Amino acid sequence: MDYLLVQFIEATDEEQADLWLVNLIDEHAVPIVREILGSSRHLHLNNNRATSTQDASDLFNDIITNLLSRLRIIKSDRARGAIADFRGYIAATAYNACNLYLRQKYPRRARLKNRLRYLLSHDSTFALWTNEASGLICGFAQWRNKGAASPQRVLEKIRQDPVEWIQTADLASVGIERAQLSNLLNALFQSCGSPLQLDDLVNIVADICYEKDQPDEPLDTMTQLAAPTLDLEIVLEHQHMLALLWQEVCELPSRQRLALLLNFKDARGQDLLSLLPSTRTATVEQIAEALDFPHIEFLRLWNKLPLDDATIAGLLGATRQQVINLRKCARERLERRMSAVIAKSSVGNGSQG
Amino acid sequence: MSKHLSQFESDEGPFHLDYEQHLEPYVDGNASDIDREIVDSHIALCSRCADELKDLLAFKQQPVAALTGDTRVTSSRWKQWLPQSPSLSSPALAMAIVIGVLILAMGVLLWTTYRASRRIERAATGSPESDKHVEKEQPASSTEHTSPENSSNLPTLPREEPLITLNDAGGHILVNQRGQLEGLHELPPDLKKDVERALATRRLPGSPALTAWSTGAGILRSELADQNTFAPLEPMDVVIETDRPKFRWQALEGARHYIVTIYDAKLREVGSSGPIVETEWTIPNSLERGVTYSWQISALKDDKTIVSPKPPLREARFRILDQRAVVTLAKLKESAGSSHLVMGVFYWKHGLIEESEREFQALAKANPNSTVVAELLASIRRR
Repeated sequence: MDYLLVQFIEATDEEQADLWLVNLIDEHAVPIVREILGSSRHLHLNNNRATSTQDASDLFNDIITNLLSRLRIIKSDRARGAIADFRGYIAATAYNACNLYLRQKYPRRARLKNRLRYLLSHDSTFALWTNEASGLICGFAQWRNKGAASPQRVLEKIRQDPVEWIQTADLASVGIERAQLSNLLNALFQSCGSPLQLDDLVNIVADICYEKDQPDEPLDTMTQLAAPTLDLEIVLEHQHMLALLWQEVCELPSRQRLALLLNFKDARGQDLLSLLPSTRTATVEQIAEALDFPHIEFLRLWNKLPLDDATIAGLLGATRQQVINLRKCARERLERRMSAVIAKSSVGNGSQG
Repeated sequence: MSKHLSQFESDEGPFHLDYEQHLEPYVDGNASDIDREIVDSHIALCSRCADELKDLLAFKQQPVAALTGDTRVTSSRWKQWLPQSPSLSSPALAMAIVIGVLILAMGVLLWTTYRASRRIERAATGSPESDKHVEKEQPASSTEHTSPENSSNLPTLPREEPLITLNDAGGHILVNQRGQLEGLHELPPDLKKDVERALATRRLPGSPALTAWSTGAGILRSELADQNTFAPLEPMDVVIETDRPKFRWQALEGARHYIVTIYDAKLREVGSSGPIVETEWTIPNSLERGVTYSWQISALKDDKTIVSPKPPLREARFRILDQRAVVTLAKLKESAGSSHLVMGVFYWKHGLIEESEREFQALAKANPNSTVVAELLASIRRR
């Protein structure tokens, strides 16, 4: 547990705990989240400044709200997982939320960025490298490892009149096909005369090729940022649904099944695997079989469940992040399958009533 | 910082594919078995990530640039090459070659100028050869270049040749060598820029008004098969001008009746047809402009209600053109309504794709030899 969190977690008085929580958010979370949102070129350099500010403001509020709720959960139940590095945790949460938000709100820009990254790292004329100060930098291969100048005056001039620049650069056609992008990058780097930050490149290419996103309505960010959750409360209420859940679990690919079952917890961090034998949904032997474990070996493991991700990673020969991703894939699939069953069941109950 | 953070392990928030960790290795065939399984499982459920992966796979397959690496970085390659060539080690020899190249360039320039003036003279005198030398886009008519001053006996001034000439708006629309549009006045500046950009890039990518909408990737195959039998037909993924749209759907054999239900963006029901036996219905009340709606069709068959589309299939969505665009469109119809090019670009920009395609078809008919128009029309159809 990070020492920064200790006073908040251990506070017994609710008022005092709230004070510590406000302090944690104001002193640590707010500056880090602001810095990460501020470093996003797209949120900053978007031509439509009003939209950009609104994006940043929405995102900021959502990240802080999510952090608050996460901290409250940890305080109410330490078993939900400790945070070893609170500042790193805030940064990762903000970065991931920012990335996801931009990808969802600007899907066309996300695809263009992927294409440019691919071209820059697969065409020997160009290069993509990382600079400690500026992040991802790109340019001609012979510029590799130089710092990014990102000549804003040149970029602004192109942005103001892309058509004139296309004529001046003598580009026969402009577009996002591989050959067209390759010629476009060549002309752009020549015009700029120095490496560019990748985000600057994406923005200027989007302007030239008119690869613009125009979301019709603001995303419901809370919905978008919320982790996919399977409403197990509802599932557990119904024996037959639990049987269906088990059936779906058995149909998961084996690695996903293992990543899920060995760390099968409810919203409060309670082990759910033990629920299966007690509700007669599946015997321990059947669970062992589903996990491809010898029965005796699984019995030894039973009292240690749920296992932490590092241990599961060791069993699978995977990294901890891969275990997390496998489990998320499994939950996504179960959520999709089971929500259909739940909806059907609700309709059925409604019509009966 | 971003690179460091992207590698930070996290089990918070929803899972989506990461470029470095998943997309690029998958596309290049370098992903581990575990990551490949993660990608395959995820794209079956997430249409956005499926779109990104599909796009990158398609991009990888596209041909690389026609220019080779050797010819691209012209100025810097010259600088590298000069000192390396042994024959150019002598400064005097190098200078002589540079002077020679300059003389040659001046000769070419003089010859080109002479040829251009001859061509303009021939055009002014109506020589039948004149069109043979024009390499840029030209209209079908051979008389369109004869301007009033050329038809008189006034001395001819050398005039800049337009880059593109199109038969449109009851006359001709020109794009000059700087890519600027001539022959259309009173266009909103934004729209003028959009038209110029379309002509310069020769493409109209997906309409910016529709980009936030799902493309339907990630739909399970078995469920797609169902969609072919009973499903909404229109409106689907479009912006429409009328605020009282007509709904059409594919019939379900043996259905006793159908019910159309319309929802707003927050999935609140805003209209229903009630039971009907036809396979189309026009809503009697106006829907709110600028709002995105979705709709479902349900059929009663053998005392069972069958609904389409339903999750995980994508919604049947449409948006009613917003009031501001309606006003602009009315003004535009008055000022530039006869220009298929302008109307086509306007419709495209606002997501009225069928209308845009119709305008470009008319433009193509008036300009059968224009490759620019053909490419624009093709790009609209590819959406």
